[in-house]
Amino acid sequence: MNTTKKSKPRKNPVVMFIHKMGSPPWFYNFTGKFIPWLWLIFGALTIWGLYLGLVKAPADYQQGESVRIMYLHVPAAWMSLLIYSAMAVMGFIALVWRIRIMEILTMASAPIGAAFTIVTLTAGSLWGRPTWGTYWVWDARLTSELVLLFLYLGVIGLYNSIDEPRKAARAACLLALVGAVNLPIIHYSVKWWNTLHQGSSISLLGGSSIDASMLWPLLIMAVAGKFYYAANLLTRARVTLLEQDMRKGWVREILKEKN
Amino acid sequence: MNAIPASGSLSRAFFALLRRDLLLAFRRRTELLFPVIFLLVVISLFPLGIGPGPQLLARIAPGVIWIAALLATVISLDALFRSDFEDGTLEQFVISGHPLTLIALAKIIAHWLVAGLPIVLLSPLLALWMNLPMESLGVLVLTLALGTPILSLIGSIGVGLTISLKKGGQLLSLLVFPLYVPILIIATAAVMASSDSLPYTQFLGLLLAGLITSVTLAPFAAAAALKISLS
Amino acid sequence: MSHAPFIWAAYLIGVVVLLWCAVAPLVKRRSITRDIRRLIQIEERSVDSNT
Repeated sequence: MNTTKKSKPRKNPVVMFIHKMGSPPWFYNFTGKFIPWLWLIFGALTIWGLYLGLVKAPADYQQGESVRIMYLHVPAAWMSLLIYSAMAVMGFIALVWRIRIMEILTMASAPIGAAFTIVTLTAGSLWGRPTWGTYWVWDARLTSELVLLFLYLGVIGLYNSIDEPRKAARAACLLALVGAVNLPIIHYSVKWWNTLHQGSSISLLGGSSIDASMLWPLLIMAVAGKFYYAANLLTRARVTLLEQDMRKGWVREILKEKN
Repeated sequence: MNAIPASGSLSRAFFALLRRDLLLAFRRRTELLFPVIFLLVVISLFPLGIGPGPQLLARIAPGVIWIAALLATVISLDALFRSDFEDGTLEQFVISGHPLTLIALAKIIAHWLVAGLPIVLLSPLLALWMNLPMESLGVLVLTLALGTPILSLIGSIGVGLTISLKKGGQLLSLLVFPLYVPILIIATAAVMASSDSLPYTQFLGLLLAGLITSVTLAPFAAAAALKISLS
Repeated sequence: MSHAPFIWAAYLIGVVVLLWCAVAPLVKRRSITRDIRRLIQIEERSVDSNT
């Protein structure tokens, strides 16, 4: 008898992990364990960062106390851009490989990114009032952030307008990708436009290098933002899974376990 | 209503589709005038709203004319795929085996000929109304000639994404205006530079680069968008 | 002009926006659980009426 022995395919743990993440109940339970820790680290970093920035760091030589808004405005701006990039990358993966969990993660990122953009704009506006005397200035960063907010709102709006969730996610992912391709072009054209119309480029931070006592709280807040994003993103993704799989068995199981 | 040969070479299909779209557009000749009238009305609102002071109008002329062009384009974009989507012709295109990218490109070209070219041709009149210095007129026409196709190309992606929505047209503006920002900045910079007797050819070069990039990339994205909308 | 009210206002708005963003999914989860319970009740009722 001739039996050809099939060799067992070696199970790559990374590939296994990625496959498991694609299963909604597995994703739901696995990420559920992380979220409290992510919030904890976020809280600790924020308290530490704000203490360093609001209490220990000195006021700026030129701008006075108002520079303390920087510890909110700049990390929020970085987060708004980081989240859009993450959205674009995840959206690309979701579109090309049609992975449902990626679609959900991409769509869950949009409101978070929009929130950070709004914080950037309001903090920047309030920083501008004592610094430049007016609540709004069409400087390069604020104008770029405003356009970025419109891009976010477009993705959110498109996703919410289409009834079928997977089709809606695919359309919004494509839009996010198109926006991401245009984002550097928009950013540089706005930056250039700003110098064109105002002569010297006005920047809230100026050209001088930043002192260490100011740099540390800035970096700590930046890292804190990433933990916020991770915690909020996973929370939103889990809730979306519950909503979409309302009639499925695994959701009922989880509800029973909770009671 | 399908004029596309079921088989046949790609270029024949392309030109047949182009001819068909233009024919359909010309059957409703009055509708061709809508973007033209819109432009005239919007431009005339500015002196009415701001005051007819010639220096002020001249200073805001490039921006105002370009913004009016943006608005006119967005309004006319919805027609790009809608009638074909609604009567099922678009699905026939997808099934036909011809690449949807080239089908999209043919329709975009037809759209620009019908909606974008009138903007370019009308611009001298608009420049006159906004008191744009005569030396800058040539640059204005060039920026519009290079820029309005880019508007149609990038806009077609937005149309592809919103075509299945009932109120797609309203969402469309939100989607495409952020993408239009660089074109607006560069085009108006070119015209303003020429008004100030400063070098402006680098801006035209940027617009040309933008046009070439859009022609190669946008139809592909528009086709992907249409496939999602049809799914 | 004191800068303090601006700093307070900026951080206050930041906290409010980010707090709302963090809490919104939890609010939604509660309404989803309510919907699921209602769904289960409807299904059980239809099972009872069929048996």
